[in-house]
Amino acid sequence: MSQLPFGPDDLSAPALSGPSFIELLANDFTRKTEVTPAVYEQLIAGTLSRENLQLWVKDLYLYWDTLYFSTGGIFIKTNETKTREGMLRKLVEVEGRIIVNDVNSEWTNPAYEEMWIDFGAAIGLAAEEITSWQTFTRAFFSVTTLCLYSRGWEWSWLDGIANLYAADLFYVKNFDLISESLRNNYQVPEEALRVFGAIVADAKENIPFEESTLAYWACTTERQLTAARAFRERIDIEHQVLQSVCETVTTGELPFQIPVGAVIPPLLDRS
Amino acid sequence: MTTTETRPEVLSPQELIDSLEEIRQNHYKRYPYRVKTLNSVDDFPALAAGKLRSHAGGDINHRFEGERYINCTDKQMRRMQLRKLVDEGGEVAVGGTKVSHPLLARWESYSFGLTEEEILASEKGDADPTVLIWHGWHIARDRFHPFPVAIGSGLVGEGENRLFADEQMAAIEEDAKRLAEWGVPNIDAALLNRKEHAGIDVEHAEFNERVIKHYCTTPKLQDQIRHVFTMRLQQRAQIR
Repeated sequence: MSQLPFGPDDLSAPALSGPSFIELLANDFTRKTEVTPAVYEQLIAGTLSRENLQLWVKDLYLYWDTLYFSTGGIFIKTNETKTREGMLRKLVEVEGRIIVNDVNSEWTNPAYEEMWIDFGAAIGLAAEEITSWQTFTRAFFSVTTLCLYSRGWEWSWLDGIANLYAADLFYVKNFDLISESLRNNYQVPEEALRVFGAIVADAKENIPFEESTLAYWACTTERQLTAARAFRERIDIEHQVLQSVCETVTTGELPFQIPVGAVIPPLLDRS
Repeated sequence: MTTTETRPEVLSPQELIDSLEEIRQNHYKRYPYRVKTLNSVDDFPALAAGKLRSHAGGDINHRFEGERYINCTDKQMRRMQLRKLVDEGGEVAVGGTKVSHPLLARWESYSFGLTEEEILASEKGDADPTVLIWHGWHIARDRFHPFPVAIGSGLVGEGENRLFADEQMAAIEEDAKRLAEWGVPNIDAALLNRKEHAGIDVEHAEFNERVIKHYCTTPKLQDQIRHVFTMRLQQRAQIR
């Protein structure tokens, strides 16, 4: 957000070809996700305590409940019609495929945040415990940043696609493994694991349009530089969202939490 | 500081809707509603040129409807607005058959002889100055007003289409005959955009009205929706 602008020297190199640019992003992804967050490491190994599992579920609720805002922020900016069609589908997936059940009767999933609450119930959390949880401040800052960058001028529409691409790759990398461990090590019933299957399936469905959009439209050096930055920033945000839970898992201490009633600035009720 | 200012009385939901429709009817006294028709078009080239101009600067449907969506702080209403976004942005995105309204507008233009290249070039080009500031106000309104005003403002255009749906459908039938006389090859595609709006806007107007009735319940919001309603009518009168 506060980086110096790219100058003539930075921009003098020719743009990478589409496939080479996607390969560059893949390398960035591998490098930046080399270390699995501690909470995921323990969760996948089946060593995470049930208490900390509940903590993770409570603390991530804000992320799922506000994902519509960051996704919608990119949708509004996207004037390219084919990409926007993919974005619209993505928004419906986040908000619940059930919304368009009248159009497509096979689409029945509720919103991610609702399925997340269902998952929480399966590990002993009441809905109220999840929705009223005072999010760890670092996760709150992370989600706020995601909302700001997506909504404001910080990310262009194409940067926004790169950010979504990063998130989808992150879900695919982690959620199948987490779901499998929850099934085998924590005896979470299949029905409650629906949220993970939905997010991964949706991500896998969306990755091709995100890739093709980036390969085609990131056709200048400057577009590639900023899109790659947004891609890396989203991976950082995904890690930052988890950082406080990781701290608790490794130190046993509770980090800062937001005051009761704190609201993300872009989401302030202006009515 | 003391003040003797008195706030206007809060109207009941139905009184508010009635007051908005009164604003509309007063506006029509000076600027009567004219159903969209090809009667005023002299010939086919003039029609095509007008269509090409309509694409200049790109389509803003997703921008203002998206602003309304992201602006909405009521989860249930927000998801209903998303359903509207699917109507506007194309059910094909979610496995349906209906295409987006911007694509319908393109199909309409193709039928009038415009090529994809011409339309794309126009959409990348500068908007007409009047359209530039119309779009600017349109998007700013939906970004910065509280969501009941932003979503409610749709009642102007969609409410008009609801009011005159029968006349619009009759005009479409008449225009189909005229297009046939002109030898337009794909008349259905040429008129689908207008047919779609004459139909789906009835539902959308009901949604807008529901939001106004349920949420514009303070003097401030009722003032704002009246102001926006008036300015939107003014804007439409200038553009027509």
